[in-house]
Amino acid sequence: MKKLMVRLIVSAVFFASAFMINNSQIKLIMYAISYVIAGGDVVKRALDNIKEGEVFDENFLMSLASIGAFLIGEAPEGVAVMLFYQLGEMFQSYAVGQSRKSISNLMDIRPDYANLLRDGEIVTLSPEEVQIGDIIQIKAGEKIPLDSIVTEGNSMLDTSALTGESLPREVTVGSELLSGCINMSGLLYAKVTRPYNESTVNKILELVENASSRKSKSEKFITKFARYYTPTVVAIAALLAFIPPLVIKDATFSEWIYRSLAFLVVSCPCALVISVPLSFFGGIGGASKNGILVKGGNFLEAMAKTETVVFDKTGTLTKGVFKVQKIHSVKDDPRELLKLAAYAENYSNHPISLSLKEAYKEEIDSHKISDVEEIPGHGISALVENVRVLAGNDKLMEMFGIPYDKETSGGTVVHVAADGQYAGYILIADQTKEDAAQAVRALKDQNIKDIVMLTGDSESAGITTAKELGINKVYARLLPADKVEKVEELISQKSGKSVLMFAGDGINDAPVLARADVGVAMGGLGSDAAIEAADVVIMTDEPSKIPAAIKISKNTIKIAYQNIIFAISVKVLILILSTFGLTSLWAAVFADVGVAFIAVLNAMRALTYKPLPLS
Amino acid sequence: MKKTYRLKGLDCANCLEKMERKISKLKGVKNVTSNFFTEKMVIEADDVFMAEIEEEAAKIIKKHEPQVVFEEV
Repeated sequence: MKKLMVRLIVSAVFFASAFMINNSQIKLIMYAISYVIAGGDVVKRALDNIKEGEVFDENFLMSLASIGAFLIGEAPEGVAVMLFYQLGEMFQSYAVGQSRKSISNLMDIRPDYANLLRDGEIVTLSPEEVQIGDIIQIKAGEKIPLDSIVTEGNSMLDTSALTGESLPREVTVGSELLSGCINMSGLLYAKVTRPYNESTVNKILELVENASSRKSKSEKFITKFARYYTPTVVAIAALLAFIPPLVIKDATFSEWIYRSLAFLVVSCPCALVISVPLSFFGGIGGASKNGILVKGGNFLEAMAKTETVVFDKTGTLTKGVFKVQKIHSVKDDPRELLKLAAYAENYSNHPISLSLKEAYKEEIDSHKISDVEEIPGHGISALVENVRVLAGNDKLMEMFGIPYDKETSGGTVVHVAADGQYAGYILIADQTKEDAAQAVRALKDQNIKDIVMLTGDSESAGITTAKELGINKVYARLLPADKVEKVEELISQKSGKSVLMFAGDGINDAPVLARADVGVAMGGLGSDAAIEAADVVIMTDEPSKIPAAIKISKNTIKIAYQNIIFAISVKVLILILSTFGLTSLWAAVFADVGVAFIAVLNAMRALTYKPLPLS
Repeated sequence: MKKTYRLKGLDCANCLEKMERKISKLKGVKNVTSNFFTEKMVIEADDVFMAEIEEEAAKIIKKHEPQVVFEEV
């Protein structure tokens, strides 16, 4: 590039001095020298390509335009075309180089090495060579090379490269480490859980790099446009050069050829071919910086048209962790009530039983439990310290004819009776995620028409969560197959080209993720099936990333359209002006390469865009 | 067989588009995708033709962008 710069400067010096010379022959020689220095290689490449049958190649078109100018006696214009063209190319490749650098910085999450602990010694090798079960050492400041579990040490992790989350995460023995994060403080030893090619960091890089092969409609349009644009413009140029002088009285060939040369100058679709895909690639890169992996330009484009967002409840809007929320004791000690329930449910592994045991905290002495009987769909009957305990739902109480207190709020109610006497109930419910309500609000702010929640839970649980979050459409008691059906129904209801987005945590949602126009898997790195089926993977489990993704999508589309409209209108303007002889050649080439340069810079905004903290 | 190549020094996105189209027409090629920004090209083809395709692809690339270094990654 430096070489080119020197050449252009020398060429410009000859060009300038030619202006000052009066002798017209020497003047022409000076122009010719200036021209050869600036654009000799372009002409050479053009000639080479003609031999190969490649006519509409930009080298050829520029050579034709500039040599044509020489031939009709506009030598300075010919030199100017070549000079500006080369200058523009130089700026453009500088801008492209810069964009490449920002993109590769962004992708700089690939770990270079791993410190393997082997026979008490540390060996440094490439992450690909480490195997499952190996123990690796990660020093402060190093990248986690492989997905692993901490076996020794405490530290803080910087997960921002993966999740966009700026708060460091604390890890200790037993914590899961995702490759690509940075160990900020302590020394860690960890046991490798996945080989490198299945590791988080490798999956992310593959997703982002492969994303460009699924092109958006705008990109496809540009590719098509580029294919027809050049031949069309060249054909018009040919007509313009020869028809008017033959038809119009007093029109000269040199005048009309001059005008047609401007067509050749703007006949390269470069600005569009670079800047539109760059906008999308930048958008995908920028999204991944925020912890949102988009699997293709087509999905990034589609998200901007979202009209309906369908959420799965458990694990997506709620934490999916059941907790005892309320203990309602008829007589006295709530602790005693909890104890009875925990003992009765001791042998069950149902999430409800687990949450009872977790709330009870104390060790359960299983010798005190006997004669356990499960009554399917109702609950459990067990003998605890010689007391007949019944623990279960409303139906269980009704079955034994025991009067009980009603609880109407969402969640699961476990009634407890001791020796036929009603003792009270325990309310167990899932908690909504901290940012769930905020996510719903942000979606409403973005004019999403329909926000829907689907759940396999009871109506009361569904309605309670929906009310809390401000969602007004809930469909409850759905089996996985019902969810697909519901989503299909919602797709048929939405207006023409709008998009339905479904967000789920992925474990049972793969068919729904695949069916939705855009399927979003949350906290996705856990489940391979979800990553496979989803179009967008959110690295964290924050639902607020969904409105953020839509924002990024809208911003990217805006930039791509700006570039399309800007580049095409400048080109059309030049074409119109030159048809009427209102512009000079060098102005045309200057405008054309200028557009390309500005479009590339504009496209880079897609990469650095931050969907500001949502209100 | 799928092979990934690096096209170091790519300058012209339109040319890449043309190269991709030409390479995809070579005998035995199943699919070609390329990325101007990461300078990568993935060629998927029958094993038998791979060596030949590679050679032809290098020629096509050379023609459009002589400065590009074409190598497998």
